Amino acid sequence: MSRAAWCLLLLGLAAPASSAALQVLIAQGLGGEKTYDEQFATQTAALRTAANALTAPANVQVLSGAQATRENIEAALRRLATAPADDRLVLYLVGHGSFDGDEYKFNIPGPDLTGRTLAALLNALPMRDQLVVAGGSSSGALQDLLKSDTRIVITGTRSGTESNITRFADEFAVALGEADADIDKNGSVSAQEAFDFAQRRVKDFYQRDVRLATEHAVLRGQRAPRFTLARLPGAAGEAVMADEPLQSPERSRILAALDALRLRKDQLPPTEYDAQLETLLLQLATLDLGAAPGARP
Amino acid sequence: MNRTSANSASAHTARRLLGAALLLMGTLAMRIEARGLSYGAVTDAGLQRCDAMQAAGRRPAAQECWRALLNIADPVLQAEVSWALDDFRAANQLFQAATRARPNDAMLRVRWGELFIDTHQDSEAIKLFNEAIKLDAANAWARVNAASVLIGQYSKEAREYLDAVLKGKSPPGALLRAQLLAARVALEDGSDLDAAEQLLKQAMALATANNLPRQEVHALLAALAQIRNGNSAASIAAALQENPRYGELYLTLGHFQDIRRRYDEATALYRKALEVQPELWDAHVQLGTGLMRDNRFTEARTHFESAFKGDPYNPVTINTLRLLDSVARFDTLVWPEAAAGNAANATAPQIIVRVDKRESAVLAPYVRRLTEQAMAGYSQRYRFQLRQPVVIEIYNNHEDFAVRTAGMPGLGLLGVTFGHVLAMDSPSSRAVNDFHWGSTLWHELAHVYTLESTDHRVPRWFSEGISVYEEWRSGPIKGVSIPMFVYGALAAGKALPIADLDRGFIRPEYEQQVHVSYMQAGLTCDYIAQRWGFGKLADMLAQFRRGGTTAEAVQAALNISADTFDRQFGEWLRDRFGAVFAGLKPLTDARAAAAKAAADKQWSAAVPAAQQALRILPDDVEEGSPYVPLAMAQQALGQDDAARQTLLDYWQRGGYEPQALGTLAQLLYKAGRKDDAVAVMQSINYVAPFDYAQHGTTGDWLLELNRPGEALTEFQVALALNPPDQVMAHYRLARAHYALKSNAEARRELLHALEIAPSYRPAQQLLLELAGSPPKT
Ligand SMILES: [Zn+2]
Repeated sequence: MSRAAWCLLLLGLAAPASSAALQVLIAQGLGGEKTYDEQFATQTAALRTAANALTAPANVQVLSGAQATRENIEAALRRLATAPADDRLVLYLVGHGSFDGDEYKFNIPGPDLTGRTLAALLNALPMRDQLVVAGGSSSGALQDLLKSDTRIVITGTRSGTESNITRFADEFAVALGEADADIDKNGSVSAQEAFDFAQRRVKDFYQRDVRLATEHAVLRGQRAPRFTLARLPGAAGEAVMADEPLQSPERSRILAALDALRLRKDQLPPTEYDAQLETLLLQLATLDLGAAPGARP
Repeated sequence: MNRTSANSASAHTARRLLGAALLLMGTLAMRIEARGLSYGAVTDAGLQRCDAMQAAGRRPAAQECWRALLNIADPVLQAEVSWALDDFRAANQLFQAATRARPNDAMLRVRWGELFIDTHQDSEAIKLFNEAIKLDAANAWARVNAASVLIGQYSKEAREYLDAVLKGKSPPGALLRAQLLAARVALEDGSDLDAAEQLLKQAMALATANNLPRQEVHALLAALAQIRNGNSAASIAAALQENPRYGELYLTLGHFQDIRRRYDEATALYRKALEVQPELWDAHVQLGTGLMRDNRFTEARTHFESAFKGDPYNPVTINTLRLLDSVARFDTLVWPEAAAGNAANATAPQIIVRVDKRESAVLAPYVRRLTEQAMAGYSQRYRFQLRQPVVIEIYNNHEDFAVRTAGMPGLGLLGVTFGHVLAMDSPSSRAVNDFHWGSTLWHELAHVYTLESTDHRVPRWFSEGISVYEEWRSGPIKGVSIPMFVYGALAAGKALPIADLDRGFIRPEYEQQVHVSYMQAGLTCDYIAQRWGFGKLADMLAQFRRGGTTAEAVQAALNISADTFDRQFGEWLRDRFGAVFAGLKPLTDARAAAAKAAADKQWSAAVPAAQQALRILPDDVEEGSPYVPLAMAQQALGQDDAARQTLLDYWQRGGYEPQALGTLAQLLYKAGRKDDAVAVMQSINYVAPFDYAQHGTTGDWLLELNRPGEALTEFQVALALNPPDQVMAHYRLARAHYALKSNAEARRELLHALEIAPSYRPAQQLLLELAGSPPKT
């Protein structure tokens, strides 16, 4: 991992873990034809499963089919206006988007939801920690509209003009249940990991088929490596999600020390760095595995 | 010639077989540096006087003489003089202007065309010669020039042009050039040296009678003597007497050594050519090419750079310089590694590998294992120790490889052996699974032994035959694998007599004859080994080392005549493949039916069709092999045991499709046959080595089998492929090091893994274990 990423990790840790809740809204738009409707339903199901494992059912809202109207989406977002400012928000837009050169539209029953409307709604919310995932066609048009210092925005294309149906959206949903996506093997999939996984799979697909890629996904936002989107089944790793009971102060201390050490990697002689790293890793291992260093677990 | 046939062969048949002992002819029509002898095509008396000085080797005088002519306001004369003074651009413009002024002047177009030959623009040249013939149907100059270009391109029309000049009423100079060209062709062909001698005698008489230059006649007479192992001194002296700066003499002699693969002799002659005539750019190109064959890249580069300065139009020079730039970015691996700091203990290098930096870590372990294994087997079986290290060049860009072997892109071969140096495609230069690179390497390494042990005297067919035979019998994929169309050709009686088998490689008469000849040569060696024992193949090689012909070698080693051999080989072929020959049609039909049924998921129909095809030809493992649909069908029908057996048969007979083998490995592993599973996985590395998951799984299984050394190699390769899961890659390495009791390395890998994933349980566990054991010193 690059140094930049370690830097972000530290920022992530600096945010105080609290009883803040995770709020999830999934809006599934119109497929237009049966295969697309099925595809979008599959994505929604995977996203909902991942969300339910992270937060209370009451915090997960899903709007699909006839319910996914502009009115209902607006209402759902407004309902969150009363949530505490340290809650975190994830908004998934599942479906087609379009772009006419000026306006992005998310395709839903009735009047479309425009990018500008969406930006206004999100900006009005109290929570600073926001993540928007729009993996579908033309979603790149949202990047500029939703840009903010604290918001993470993931889009399936780099601009509004990439208007073909994307593979990225499918792969992103798959990532949330996929151990291969969990690069740091902590039992959960972060926004960054899900993005990297989906991007890798999309690239492989176009390479394998020797086709010119018609989609180029984009992630903007500094906190993506620490924004947890899914917890893998059966995983027993770090619990860094806001809804989880707090991990022990000792564990937090070690992880923070590790992050601090990694930031100083360039300034330390390699042997010194390795020695300090090993000390901290042994402490963590001992804590996690409940064994004293040197003992056979 | 083998170049074009190799290209036209269908892609899949090329997957295993196209490797070659180098016999790529240099272009026959050799480039005359700058403006060559005109033999009377130029009639201006003043110009002829200057040209005569040049022909006598007095270049400075000739240049002065030409420059004086520049004052005469004759555009044609000025074009000729500019050309003579190496100002090709001016010459071209002047010829163009002159042609516009005199559109019906055929000779003008002939001379302009010759200028195009000098600047390596053959198609432009041919256009002008044909225009000249349109203007003047009897023009012999146009024809002889056209022939000279077309012979360089292996064209049949060349002969027609040449015959028209030889048999028609041609001016003496044109006739002389035609005779020299025809003699050159005969000398290259080598099958009728008497005819070549006859032509040269006529040429000598003609030149003498008409007071034309005789240096080229002398040069070819010297070449004739050289080919006959006679004395060429008198002809050499005569040529140099006429023109003491006649470097082309040695260039010609070098060329005739080159095409007989006497590379050392050729290189020495090219050096002599440059001593006599340092500005003979083509000699720089040829010498550079020869030096590269001998792994002397640095010196080669200086010659290509010289050539480029003098003749920037030569595409071979341009391509080779580009290639040398690529090679400069390669890693050079030397095995065994020099013992550090102890010169007395240093072992002489036996293997040198040049490979792109991005691939060396992946390919190195497999190249090394295979090469060492091949060298051990070959040196023992062929009773020969190499005198120089084997140099293996692996090109990840096929066009680089093509330039390396032929000087020009677009070659259809996969590997070429120059002697102790061989060049081949990297598996990454082609689509995945396109060819079995391990088999190609095995094939080329056999050439190294057959060529080096006979000082390159081995006939082409025998060298190829041994290489193919070794692929089948000792290579990384054993099994007699023969493309379907070859059975067709053999059934149609297209096998050549053994004494004539070289012809199938060098002068093929139908599209696929080169491939058929490869297979016939392989089968011939297989037959000899089966009937008389392998030792007789080594005996034949010894015969070739002494310079014997094929017929002599057969007689001496096998104690029968070549004719008898052909008859008995034919009987053996019919015995062995009679059922295939008779069943080609039902075989093809059943194969196609099996493939179609599998594609349509008609599993119960696929099984009997595939089985029928395999009853006729159990060795059918080439592209479209019935084993694959059969195994797919069996798996789909829930018959895992049967599928496993089918794929095992396929693998043991030489099948190598990586996906099928991956399935086989999984089935074997599930059945508890871990050793076999690992063997199958390892064999995939020789066809598709760039899949990190494949290496990871192989390493895991090796660890389970308590073979940590091999596991370590697989994990190192996996890491070199930069897998997305770096944590797992480092953790696996840690496990292998730990199993090898290399605790320091294990610790380092664990730190790498845990640095990324601090709470990864298995790595944490191993770290605790390591901390509990004393560090190894
Ligand atoms: Zn070969």
